[in-house]
This record gives sequence, C-alpha cells and structure tokens, in this order.
Amino acid sequence: MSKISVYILLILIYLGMAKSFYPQEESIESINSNQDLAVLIHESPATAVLIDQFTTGFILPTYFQKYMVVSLYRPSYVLTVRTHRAWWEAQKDYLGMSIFTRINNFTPEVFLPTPPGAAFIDDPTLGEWYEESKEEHWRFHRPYRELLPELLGWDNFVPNRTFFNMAKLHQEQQKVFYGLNNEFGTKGTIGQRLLIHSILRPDNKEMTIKEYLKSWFAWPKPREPELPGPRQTGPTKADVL
Amino acid sequence: MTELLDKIIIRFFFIILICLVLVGYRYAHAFFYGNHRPQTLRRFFPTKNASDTIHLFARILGVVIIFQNITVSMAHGIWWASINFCCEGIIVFLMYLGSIYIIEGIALYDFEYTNEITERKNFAYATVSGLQAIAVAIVLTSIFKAAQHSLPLLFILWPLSLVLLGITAKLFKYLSVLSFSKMLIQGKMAIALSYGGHICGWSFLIAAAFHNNGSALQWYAGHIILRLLLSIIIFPLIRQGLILVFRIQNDYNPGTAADTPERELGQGIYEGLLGLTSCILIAIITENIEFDPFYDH
Repeated sequence: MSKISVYILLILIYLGMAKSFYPQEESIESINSNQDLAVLIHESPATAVLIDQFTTGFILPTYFQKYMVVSLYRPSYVLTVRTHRAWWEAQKDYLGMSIFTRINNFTPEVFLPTPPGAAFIDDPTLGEWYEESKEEHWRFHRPYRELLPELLGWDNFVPNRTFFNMAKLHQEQQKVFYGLNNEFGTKGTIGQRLLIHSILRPDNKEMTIKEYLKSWFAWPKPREPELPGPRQTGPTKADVL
Repeated sequence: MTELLDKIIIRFFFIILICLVLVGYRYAHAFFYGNHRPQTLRRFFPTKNASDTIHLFARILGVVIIFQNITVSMAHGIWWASINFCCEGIIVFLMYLGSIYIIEGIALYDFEYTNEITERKNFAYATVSGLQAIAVAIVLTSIFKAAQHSLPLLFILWPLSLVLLGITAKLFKYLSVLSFSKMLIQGKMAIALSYGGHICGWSFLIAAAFHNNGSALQWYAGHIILRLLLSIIIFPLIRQGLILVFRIQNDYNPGTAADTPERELGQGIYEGLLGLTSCILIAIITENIEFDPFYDH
C-alpha cells in the first residue's frame, strides 16, 4: 500500500513540476463561454472573429480556439484560448464570424455569432453609405479602409443596405445570420478560405494503409550533392587588400 | 592527389596528437591517484593481474567514449585545430578523472585500489569500478554535447550530473536483494554484474535527460529533473512488464542455506540485465516518442 502511495505521489509531483516548467501552458487562458471572452477582451469598440479551432492530444484531447481581436483604437491581435469540448463543438460552424462584439461601455455586448464586423456597419464615425448600381454600399473611412476589411477577413466582400438590414433583423430575433449568400461561417466561401489555413482543413486527411505500405517500399531520396560555395573562414588576404 | 595526400598526413598527425594527449591522461591519472604508484605510470603486464587489466582498460575505454564526440574543425588551420584538440583533451581528462574520484568516493568509499586490485586481485571490484567509469563516460559525453563548447555551462552541468550519478549509485541497495559491500568484499561477480547493469542503465537515462531543448538554464535544469522523474515513474512498470511477459519466477532467497554461488551469480546477472534492459526501454518511452508538431500550436 505504501509503495502505491509513493508511486501516486511521484506522479503528482511530476505533473505539478511539468506544469511549472511549461510556461507556455500557463499563459493560455481558458474560456467556457463567450461571457468569459468578454472578460479577456478589454478593448472597446472591438470584435472577436473566430479564425481557427484545433485540438491537441490523442487520448485526452485539449480544445483550442484562435480569435482575431479587431480593435478600432488599439492594435489588433490574435488571442489563443483553451476551451471545453461542448463550447468548441458549438462554435464549429462559426469560423470567420464575430463571436463577441463590444461597441462601447454603454450598449450591451453582442454574444450572438454575426458576420465579422457587422456591428461596425452604419456607424457614421467609422464609415459611410455610398450608392452604386442603384444600391447602397458601405465603406469605411479612409483610416480604416485598408486594414479593417482585411482584419475582419472580408476579402472582396462589400456589405450593402440589404445585408445590414438582414443582419440587424437576425440580431433582434437572436438568430445566426450567415450573409445573404451564406458567405460567412465554416461552410461559407469566406469561412472555407480560412479553413485552408486551419488545422481542420479538409486536405489534412489521415494516412491510408496503401500510402503507409507504399512508404515502406519506396527508395530513400538521394542526398543533394553539396555545391561548392564560398569558404566560411573569414576574410582572405585578397579581401583585406 | 596532393589534396588526398595532405588529408592523410593530417590524419597521421592527429594519430600522434591523440597518443600525446593520452600521455597527458597518464599524468592526470597520477595526479588524482597519487597516494600509490598508479598502474598508468609503471610498465604494465596485462597477464599479471586480470583485475588490474580490466580496471585500467575500462578507464581508457571511458576516455575514448568521451573523445569520440570531440570534432576537429580545420576551418582555422591545423594549429588552431591542434590547440583546440589538446585543450578539449585536458578538460575531458580532468573532468573524467574528477568524476570517477567523486563517484568512487560515494559508491566504493570503504574499498581501496591497493587492497582490492594489487593485493587481493578482486575481479568483482575491478568490474564494478570499470563499469562505473564507463557509466561516468556516458554521462560526461552527453554533458559535453549539451554544453556546446561553453565552459560556464559545462561547470554547471557537471556537478548536476555527478549528483544524479551519486544518487543512482546510492539507490542500488533499494533495488537489489544482494548485499553490495558484503559480496564485493567476498569478490563475488554476482554483485559486480548486478551493480554494473544498474549504473550503466541509469547512466543512459541521465545522459538522455541532458538532451533536451530547454533554452534558459532554469528551464533546462528543470527539464532534466522532469525527464528523470518520468523515468523513475516508468521504471517499475517496464520492469514488472518484462517479468510478466517472460514469466520470470525469482526464487532467490538471500541468507538461506540453499544459496549456492551459482544461484547468486544467476541473480546478479538477472538483476543487472533486467535493470539495463528496463532503462533502455524507458529511454524509448521518454526520448523516442515524437509529439511534434501536434503539441507545438
């Protein structure tokens, strides 16, 4: 019995020490809901766009999410958080969407997944409506025009009045809006583009038995012959002269 | 053709240099073991005393194991290469002999070279001392690699490695049913093989622990301790696994009349090889499982 106790104590000491000696593990914050996200993000106005989701571990997976925190008056940054499975699974369809938005400290924070930066549209301090092809389109003011659409992951998307009205309506009804042509979200065109860089990308498939067997029968690749290059022995007499 | 000839002349030059450096080793050895005329300074007859032969050659083997990792770069010319080689050789000798001196002080403190080798021709003692010297060499090799030519780092890692080796030597009595001092005085090979397997096996693990990617010193030292702690956790599982798989039934009862020298020897071989095998298997678990790039995000 005492041997088992000592053994368990050793394992606990190991786990405790291992946690202390991996500071990168300590620095990752843990969230269980978007309410926790609001605590982590102090900027205002700001929005957190979900840009990636991944897991680590084989037997006991750990769930991670990456957010692009787009802030108007402070530098934007990528926030990596650890989360639990239920929340991770619930957010699976919202890649590329704003999961949390704060306009200012007086209006309620938005926790409903919305198209990225939808809350910034129709704010006269940030941009303006202009007419093109008999339809009103939104553009940000010059200081934000280049950077904001890129950070929000809009690509070539230009929001119009119909998009804005539909987004507003969905928000009032507490429904998720994926864009007029379902551009946003994991299945949308913009979401799919993000997925290419994600761990969840479709081409990140598992190895098949055929591929595995083939690797056993393949010849090792011949080493590249070293090309004669300049000697790394410092300056020569010719260089000095 | 001239280049090839030049290369072979340089190789011959280094053969002479190695021999000259080994002469330095002889005198360094005399410096550490100066209370009697050491075997390195007198004419040596290998057939006269087999214990002395194993004692001497195990130490030479240890030096060679460490030397194996010294690389000679000719980038700055042959003289700089020779000076660098000699300096590294001197550091190696001093650290190696110093380590053996300290570890023997811990593990074999109540034994003396003159009594055991010269007078009693204790083969078991010579084997223990020889295998211990090789274990020290294995650990020092790893430290030299980890230090990457930095003397301050080398002088920090060296005491740490000695402490770990010393603890390993002291832990032997808890892992073996054989009585170390009693059987070594009696010159029984069983204890030599059992202890040799133990110290060599753990020296592999200590050496492996020094191969980690910790950058800052505090993280690096912490990771060494962590690796060893992990090895201690895995050790009983692997050992028990081997016993179960090969259905090993240990019927050795120390202190009973049934204990014959043959049974003792069997127990010694069993303990030594089981320890060594377990340590090598532990090294597979702690070193050879690649988690990258999965845990790098």
